[in-house]
Amino acid sequence: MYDEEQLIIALKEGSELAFKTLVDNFQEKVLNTCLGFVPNLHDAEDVVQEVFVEVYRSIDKFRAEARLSTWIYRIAVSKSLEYIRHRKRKKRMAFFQSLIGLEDQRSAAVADPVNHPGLQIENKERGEVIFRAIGQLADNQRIAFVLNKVEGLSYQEVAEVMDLSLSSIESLLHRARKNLQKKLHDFYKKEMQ
Amino acid sequence: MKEQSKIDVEVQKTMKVLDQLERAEGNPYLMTRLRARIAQEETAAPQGFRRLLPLLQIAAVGLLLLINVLTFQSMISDNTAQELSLTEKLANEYGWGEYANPSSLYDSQN
Repeated sequence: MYDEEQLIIALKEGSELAFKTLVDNFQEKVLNTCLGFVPNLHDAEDVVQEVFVEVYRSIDKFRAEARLSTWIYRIAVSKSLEYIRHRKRKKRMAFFQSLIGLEDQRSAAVADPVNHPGLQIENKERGEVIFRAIGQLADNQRIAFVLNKVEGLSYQEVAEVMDLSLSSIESLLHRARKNLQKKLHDFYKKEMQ
Repeated sequence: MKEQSKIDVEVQKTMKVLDQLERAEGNPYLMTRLRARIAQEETAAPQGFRRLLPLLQIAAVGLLLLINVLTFQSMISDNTAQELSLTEKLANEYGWGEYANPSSLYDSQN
């Protein structure tokens, strides 16, 4: 089949087969990355579509300075964060509309359901807690944590995707873990009261 | 103390959930959906047109501004012409025909 260089050339020439190969090769990686940020299958699949449409649209701009996978992970991260911001804006709007009676207050306050297909049944409840805590991390900590812990990229690969040094990634991951533990600690403390 | 260790156990158990997380499988219909989506977008706005769209928008705004400026200028010149003809009329009525032009008034005083 294609090696990476051939695949990029064929994609730039508009080959449908090359695009299908790319989707087949990267679909699972992109979906699992998006699920780390948007832990709901239905929503994550929408983001996956956005990612591949963006890849299709902007493959001409890809200069092969980074690996193709690095570039696709970057698009997956940015589309996921874009989706989260869009949802937050929509909720804020619904909240204001509920204040003037245009929207039901309950629908404005409801949180997005966590529905990660990789969670085992016995872990559903804890999975919801951890994904909500991940969602509260600062963006750069969240990106590093999801890419490393959920998608399983090495520190070096995370550094390439985020265009940061290895030591910055180590520090981000350390802070992300500490913050998550604190958030979970606060959550369970509240639960036990 | 007992509550603290209980909380720590819960935190550890919850953190471990990510180690047991299975990988989600891709949607077999994704490629079909992508094809439909891309085809729909391309019919809605051809690629060349989409690339030109920002330029066209800027050009349209520029054109509107130009029309506004030209209209404003022509309104000002119309008003000046009307004012001048009114001055001339008054000058003729009072027999100041030769002073209707302010520069001629200045010349006569010198």
